[in-house]
Amino acid sequence: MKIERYVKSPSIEAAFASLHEGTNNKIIAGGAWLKLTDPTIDTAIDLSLLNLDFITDNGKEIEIGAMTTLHTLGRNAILNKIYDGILSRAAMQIMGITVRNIATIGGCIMGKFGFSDILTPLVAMDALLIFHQHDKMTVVEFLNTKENIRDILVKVVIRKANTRGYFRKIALTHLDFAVLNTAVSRNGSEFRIVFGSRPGVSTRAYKAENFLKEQIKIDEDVMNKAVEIAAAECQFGSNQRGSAEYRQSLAKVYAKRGIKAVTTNEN
Amino acid sequence: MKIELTLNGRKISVDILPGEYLIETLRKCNIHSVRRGCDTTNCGVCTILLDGKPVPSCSVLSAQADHHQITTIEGIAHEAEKLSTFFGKEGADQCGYCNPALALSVYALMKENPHPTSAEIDEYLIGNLCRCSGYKNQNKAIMAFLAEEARMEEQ
Repeated sequence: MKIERYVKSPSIEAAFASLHEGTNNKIIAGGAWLKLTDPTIDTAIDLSLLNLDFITDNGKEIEIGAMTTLHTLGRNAILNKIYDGILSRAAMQIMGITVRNIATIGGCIMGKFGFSDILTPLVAMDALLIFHQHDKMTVVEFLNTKENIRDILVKVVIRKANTRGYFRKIALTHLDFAVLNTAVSRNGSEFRIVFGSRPGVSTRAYKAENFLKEQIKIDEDVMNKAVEIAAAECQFGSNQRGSAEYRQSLAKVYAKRGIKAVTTNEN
Repeated sequence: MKIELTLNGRKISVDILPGEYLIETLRKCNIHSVRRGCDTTNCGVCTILLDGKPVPSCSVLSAQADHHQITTIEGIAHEAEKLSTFFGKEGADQCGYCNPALALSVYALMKENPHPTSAEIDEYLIGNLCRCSGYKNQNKAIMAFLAEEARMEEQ
């Protein structure tokens, strides 16, 4: 790791200016995954003085500051309730407390890490990203955009609604990256089916979601058909943790459990 | 660059490189109890307390810790010594390489949740790997230690 210069920015404006002073200047967030990324940084920009560590509830939305740590997400009473607590549950399954005390929600999002367990529930929750200058966008739009967004993520917004959620991480131990993670959410007739750590970045099964939306009743046959569609439309890859075929098989099993969970009281 | 730390209650000023990690800076400060293990946040042997919270010193840049409080085992020597007697009684100790980090995590747990269940202890210590003694006896030792601490508190 080589860092030429380190600045603790006194304001978002100053951090934004530092970011744009050079192409190899980086926001370091919590720094938890820094060793997995580019080993040389001209200016490392620290946002810890900007009061971006917060979780607030304005009645309609939950706002999460970009520098909020995963451990705070996991322990938060509000997040433990909405969408059946899938974001908190995902956060608490990431490695040990030492890592959760430094890794931030903003770092997990902006890194677009394929192994992320946080991105999958955030996509299922239709979470909205608020940047310092760039237009706001949903997490899934951010993950899919080819645009290189050199901006500062300020906060993540989750709309409160009568929603259900399901999340499962499939991994050998807490310290392993997931072989696959799956999130399913439901808001009325709207479903989200999301697979992450495929090993690619989290992705939605749009066709399966639309299929479910058109159904009057979600029974066993419908669920079986939906997960076949979901597993067929999403791409799965192979690495040392599992083959594409294995991941596809897991996807069907856990997506079905997820649909069942959000349409019944099984969770 | 120069940073200021409160290391085990003592204010110090240290010269660091911008890309230097806390584990390296602590060595410069003659703190050798913080072990180097995997260097990738997995093993937990480099755990220290940053403002009272356990963090991996192999993955926190020293510059991030500027003007913050760092606690190593030297800063909780009294509690660590007491805990070690319970480790000894339960046979929860062998080579000792992971012990300073484990003691710091137990100390942080005690502050966050003074009356944890056995399952909560296991969950809190997931990131503290031990390759010789196993975890069952550690859990029993920690339960006994915390029960004794609670009893002393009541008196």
